[in-house]
Amino acid sequence: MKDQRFLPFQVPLIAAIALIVLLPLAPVASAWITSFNYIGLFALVALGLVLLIGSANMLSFGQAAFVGLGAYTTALATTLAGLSPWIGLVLGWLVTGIAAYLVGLVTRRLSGHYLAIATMAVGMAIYFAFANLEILGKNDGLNALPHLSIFGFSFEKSERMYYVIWGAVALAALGVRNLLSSRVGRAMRSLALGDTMPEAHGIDTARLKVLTFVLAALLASTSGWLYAHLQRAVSPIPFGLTHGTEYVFMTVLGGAMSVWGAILGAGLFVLLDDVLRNLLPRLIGGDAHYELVALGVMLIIILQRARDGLWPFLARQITEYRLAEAPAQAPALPVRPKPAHGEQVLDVRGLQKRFGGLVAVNDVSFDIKAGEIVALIGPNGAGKSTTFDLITSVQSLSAGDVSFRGASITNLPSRTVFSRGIGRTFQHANLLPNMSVLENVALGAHLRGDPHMIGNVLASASRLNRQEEDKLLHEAARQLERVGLKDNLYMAAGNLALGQQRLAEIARALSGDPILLLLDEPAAGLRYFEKTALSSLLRQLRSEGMSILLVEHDMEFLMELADRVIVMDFGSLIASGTPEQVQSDPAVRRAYLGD
Amino acid sequence: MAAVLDVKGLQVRYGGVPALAEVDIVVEQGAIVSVIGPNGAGKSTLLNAIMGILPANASAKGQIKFEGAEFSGLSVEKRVFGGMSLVPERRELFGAMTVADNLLLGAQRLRHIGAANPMSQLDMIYQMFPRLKERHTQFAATLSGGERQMLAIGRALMAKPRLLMLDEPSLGLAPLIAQETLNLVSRLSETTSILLVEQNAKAALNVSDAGYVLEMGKVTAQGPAASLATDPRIIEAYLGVGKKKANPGN
Amino acid sequence: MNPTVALLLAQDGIATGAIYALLAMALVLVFAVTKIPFIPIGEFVVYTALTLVVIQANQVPRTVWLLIAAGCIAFITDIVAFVRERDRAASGGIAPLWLSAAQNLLLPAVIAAIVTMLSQQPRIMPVDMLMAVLIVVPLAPIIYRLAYQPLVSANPLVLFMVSIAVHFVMVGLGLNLFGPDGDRAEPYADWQLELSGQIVRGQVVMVLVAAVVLMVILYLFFARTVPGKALRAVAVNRIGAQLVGIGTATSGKLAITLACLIAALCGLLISPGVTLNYLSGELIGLKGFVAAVLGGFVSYPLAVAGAFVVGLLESYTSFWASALKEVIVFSMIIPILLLRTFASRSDMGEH
Repeated sequence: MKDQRFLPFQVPLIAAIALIVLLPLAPVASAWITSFNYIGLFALVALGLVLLIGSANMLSFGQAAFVGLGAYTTALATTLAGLSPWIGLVLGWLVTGIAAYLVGLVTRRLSGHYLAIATMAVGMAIYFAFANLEILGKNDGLNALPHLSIFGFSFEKSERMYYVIWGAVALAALGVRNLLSSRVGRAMRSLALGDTMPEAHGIDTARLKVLTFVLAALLASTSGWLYAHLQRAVSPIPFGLTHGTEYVFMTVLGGAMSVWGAILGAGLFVLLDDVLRNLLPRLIGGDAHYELVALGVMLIIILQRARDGLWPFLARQITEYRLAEAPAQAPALPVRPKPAHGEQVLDVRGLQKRFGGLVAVNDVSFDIKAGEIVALIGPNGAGKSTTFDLITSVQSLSAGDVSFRGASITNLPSRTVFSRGIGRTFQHANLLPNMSVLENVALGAHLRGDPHMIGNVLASASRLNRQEEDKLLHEAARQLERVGLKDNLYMAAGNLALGQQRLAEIARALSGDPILLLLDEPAAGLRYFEKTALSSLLRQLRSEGMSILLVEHDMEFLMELADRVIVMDFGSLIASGTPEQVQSDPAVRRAYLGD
Repeated sequence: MAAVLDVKGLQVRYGGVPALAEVDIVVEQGAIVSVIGPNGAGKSTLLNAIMGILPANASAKGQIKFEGAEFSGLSVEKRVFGGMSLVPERRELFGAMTVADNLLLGAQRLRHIGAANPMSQLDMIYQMFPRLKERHTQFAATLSGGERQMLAIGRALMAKPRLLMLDEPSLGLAPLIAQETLNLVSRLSETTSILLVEQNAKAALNVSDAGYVLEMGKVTAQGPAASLATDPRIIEAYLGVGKKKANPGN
Repeated sequence: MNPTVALLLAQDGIATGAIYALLAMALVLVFAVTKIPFIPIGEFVVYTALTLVVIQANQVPRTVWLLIAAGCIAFITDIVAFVRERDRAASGGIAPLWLSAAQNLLLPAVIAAIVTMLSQQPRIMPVDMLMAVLIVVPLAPIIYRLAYQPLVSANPLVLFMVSIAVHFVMVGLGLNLFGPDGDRAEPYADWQLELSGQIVRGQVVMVLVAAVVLMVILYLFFARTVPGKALRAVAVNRIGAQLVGIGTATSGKLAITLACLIAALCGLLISPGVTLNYLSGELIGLKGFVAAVLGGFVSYPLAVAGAFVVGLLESYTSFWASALKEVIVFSMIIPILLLRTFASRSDMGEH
């Protein structure tokens, strides 16, 4: 999602909107209205794919089948049962929602390509059901659907449907845009990095994937409902795999990262299709059918050359990402009570991790008290990062026990570990490169918002959750200021220097209001004065009662910071004590220098 | 002595973030050269860049001359066929294949250049590592850490490389085995030049002819191994002792 | 349903199952080596079958011209890539271009010449079949070169989209190459066997024998030969394979070519039994996919088992509920994936 307050292309954008609003009033050929109606219908589906492909890195070729479910449900409801089209809309949502929920449910824990395959197969199944079921009119479909009307005002004419369709597109575009810039949307976008990072910040990725998939299907279903009442007839052809692929094509063509890309893509696709249908036969002559070939070749070229689609080219000047902005003032979020100074916070007993025959971590035990900074050091491959992963359940442990504030957290899901108050950063900075620093950091505060997913989606799409958003974003901005990144709030996180990315990760962990902070090489890549600033930040956090466990190689940095140093080698603890003690420990010198 | 490997001004960036800055390294014919330095200094990045297996988000610039020919920009297979072999830090064995298959696949270079018979090379490796011969029908994934290490080195040697690069060969091995590995490295230099990356500085320098100290992507010290071994800058680099008194420099 | 019908249906189911099994194995092979979900596999089945039909009608199939045109495009792409990388890689001369010319220009030309010459001569059926395979299979490395090779390090979803795009290109071309109407080849086994009162069609026997022979050959290839082991090595550890000198592009090309060879043989096997048109490949390929999904894209035996389940299910549903045959076969993926979800609770995410 890229956006900004003063767009250099605002003029063409306003012109485009004006064109869309005024088109039916102008004396144009009805073919234009028809084309624009289709653009609107396609754009609705493409907007769903913005959620799927552009944000959550999920791929579906089955959107056409969901369009079909919406269309056929309303067709049945209105022709057979004589119900109002508006009831048909709701029934369509219900049917599509259940179908999408099932597909999402069975693929949520599997790799990305399973969803793509499942949507293809289920799409085929649904398509063949349309084409073969007696009640659905087999290949002829159903016709004589009623037109839409509300309080006696009829939308029979296609110029009037035009406004219904584009009204729906406008609502959907706004809703999707609002959603993506909100707490739930940020979580959806974080899925693009895989499951580990979001789970480590309290996000239930499996549930979220199902939700995203259902939302996209509902948008498709809406498009199908509009289509059915525009055409006043439905038949199976437009709901097959070819059309399912065309939706993916137009979304990728326009740019799956933005709502404008989806609309642009739908528009270009319809125009392109017209051109190809008229031009190709004349160029090649005879009864050649090369539309499908041209479509495929263009899709391949776009994927090879401009994977992000055309919209980023138009919006290239964007240097700031202000989709979500932090308010100057906002009520503070509730804060967890901190344990008393000196109270035991983390207790690790006999931690062990085996990979096949290899023992990566062997019988490691230590504890951390409230308000203590403990450093974990050791040569490469000593098992330090693995120890982090075991404490936060990113990897499951083979033996041992981890307890946090007196309760065992051994092998609990990493999102639960986070919710108990253990925040962490990763050895390789794990930020969404195309999201603003502020939004990346706000992801850490995910659990401090409304936990009700569906209610939250509605509130986010309609911007009714402004208050909550303000609080979360303000908190994120506050933490960014603490780590010294207050001038980089709206920069794309991918443009930060490596050291700054680590600082942003610390801010993200802090946004979750942790009691214990695990930092994996926080000082790597930092310049001298940045290290000093980080050091004083960590000291300040300690004075506020936070406990910190860090893996670090810069001994100079650790010397004056750490209360205690734990040394690992070959997966085992070989020494512990004050930094001075450890530095002169013969076992440590041997491990590092081979003395 | 002619240089087998002559690297000049090698720069590597990971998505805009510099990892190596203008590194120059020379490996003379038949020499063992070790690159030492603390974690995260860019040692593995250096070897991976020379071998051409950097991840997709990385970009490399600079000269990599191998036996007089420019190798930068070549595909990995061409570098292998040219005579480079790398034993990577993660070993990258074919876990679900037998020890014998792992070794035989190591000889792709010999098949390509049509030189020596892969089978006779295999016999040689089995002589060097009798343990691997014992386990030749076992899957690589079931080997112990030390055996994996042998297999990784054996697989690299199956190509009869002109330059063998070893990334932390003693990593994760018990001290005794680690020392054996380094002894082996010094024996190997009879047939090939060696570029060695090691965390274990003293032990590495003991078997080396020359050494480079890498810190934060830059070469901060270099010279004959013997003189480098006593250089106080090494202890600084690793343990930070006395660093504050030292000149911050670059 | 009486036992005779049930056994007949089983026959059909096993025969189609064998075809899906071969395709599923081909798909697993390509996916393991390249991470490409090779959807267009069904088009290779259809192209080979319909090319055979044209050859049997003593005409020169248009697929020959497709092969020549595609070869020219691949050669031009190679030249462009060569010129672009010339300054980066100074060493190595123009040897790669000669190789490319041989593969992309010479080979198609030779094949075209042979086919044109032979098309007017009296031939036996195996020659026709060989010609069809010779025309269609060389398209595979060219497709890899043009569509997939520039995307070696792309994420799996991009590879998926490209596969779908290639599928559409081939369907679209198929319409222009073979026309909209379906056709079938001359039967190669119009005899019957009687096995304890049960009539077994020769076609079914041939399909099963061919499938078993092919699977044994594939097994020997992967277990005994160096190229086979090299392909397995890429599937097991890509970086490791690169480090011993097994190139990603080379192995990708080989894997896809092998898969397409298998698909082409499937095309020959089914060509007399079913009427195929330019669109048929979609269904055939996707059913191979459903079978491969059962094997989780990693296990050959599971994929083969899945294929027979798909084949039998298809055969019996065509008797009971012929209208919903496809609906049932494709819906089957939901319970399969549900099982896999339970089986893989602990192993989340990619890889």
